[in-house]
Amino acid sequence: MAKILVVDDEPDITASLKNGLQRKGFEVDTYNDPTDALSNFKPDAYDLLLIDIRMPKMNGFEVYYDEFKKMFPNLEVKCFIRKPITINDLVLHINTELDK
Amino acid sequence: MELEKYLIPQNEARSEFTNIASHEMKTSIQAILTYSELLQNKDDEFRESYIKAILRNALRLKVLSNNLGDLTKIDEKILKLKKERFDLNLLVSSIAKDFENMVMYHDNKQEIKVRVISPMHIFVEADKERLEQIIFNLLDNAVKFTDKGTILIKLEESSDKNWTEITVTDTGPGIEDRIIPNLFNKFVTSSHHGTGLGLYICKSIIEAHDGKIWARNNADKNGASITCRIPTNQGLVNKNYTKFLNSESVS
Repeated sequence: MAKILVVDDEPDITASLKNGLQRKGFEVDTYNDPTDALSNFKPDAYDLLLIDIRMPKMNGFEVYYDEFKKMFPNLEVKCFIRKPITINDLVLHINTELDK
Repeated sequence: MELEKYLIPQNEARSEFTNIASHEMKTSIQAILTYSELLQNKDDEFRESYIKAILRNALRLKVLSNNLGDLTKIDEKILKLKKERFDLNLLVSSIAKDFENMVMYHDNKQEIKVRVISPMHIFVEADKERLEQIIFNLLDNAVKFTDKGTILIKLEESSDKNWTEITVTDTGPGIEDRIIPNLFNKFVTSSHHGTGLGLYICKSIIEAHDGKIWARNNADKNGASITCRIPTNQGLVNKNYTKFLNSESVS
């Protein structure tokens, strides 16, 4: 079962995505505050990260380039997904990236 | 050159506002879309919470859409007031109750109370719907920065009955000093949620009533207060009252 980390400052988004993705068979952890996500992050714990871009404390680019990428140089940006998106379409994106 | 100096920041602010408004829309639509998909599963035990979330986000879109409509009216100077005489205490008490219920139901903030301090009756001559919109907006603003505690609405009339003040006080972290001078300008926001239109619209409506609006941090560093002062229009009230008396005497 693939494990996904979702970081988005909107509780409605993280809660609904968590529920929707769990129903599709994924294991999901969510954080509304990127700094919490970073401090609790464990290497190799996730198959894929879904990071929102527009967030108040740190935007998604800062989270990726300034933090994750420095800690884990092999981590790659796979794609940009435009919101709003249905769970079904999101799952298609996720599966495509996981299958690559 | 002077014109450029003025236009560039305005354009930057407008472009940033477009980004924020677009983000607000996308966020609410995303939530409505995902929760609606989840609702399709009839056995889901959390269906009620999904419906609440859909309503909450639909209301966010409604506010955004109303604010955009008002912004156009204000910018084009076609905002019209429908003034009538009414008891402000009755209106505010009813809004306070509705708001408290709404916050409890939609935002799950169980520990927010809204308290009204007012004389028994306080009559004003104003646009009732627009004042309701302002008070709702000030409460909504206060609740963004308050997780628990009491939001206070104080109504006061000057001793000569020439003006009335509505003050909304919260117990949140207060307003950053750098923001206070621009708080009522278009597109200014200290919250990540919001477009920075709400207080600008409040100011425009209050000014259309020949009134004033201002904000201050509370002396004990316990939250902030926003006050609106509007003329009571005693002259108009007296004139109508005389007219009413005359018609009474005729009958």
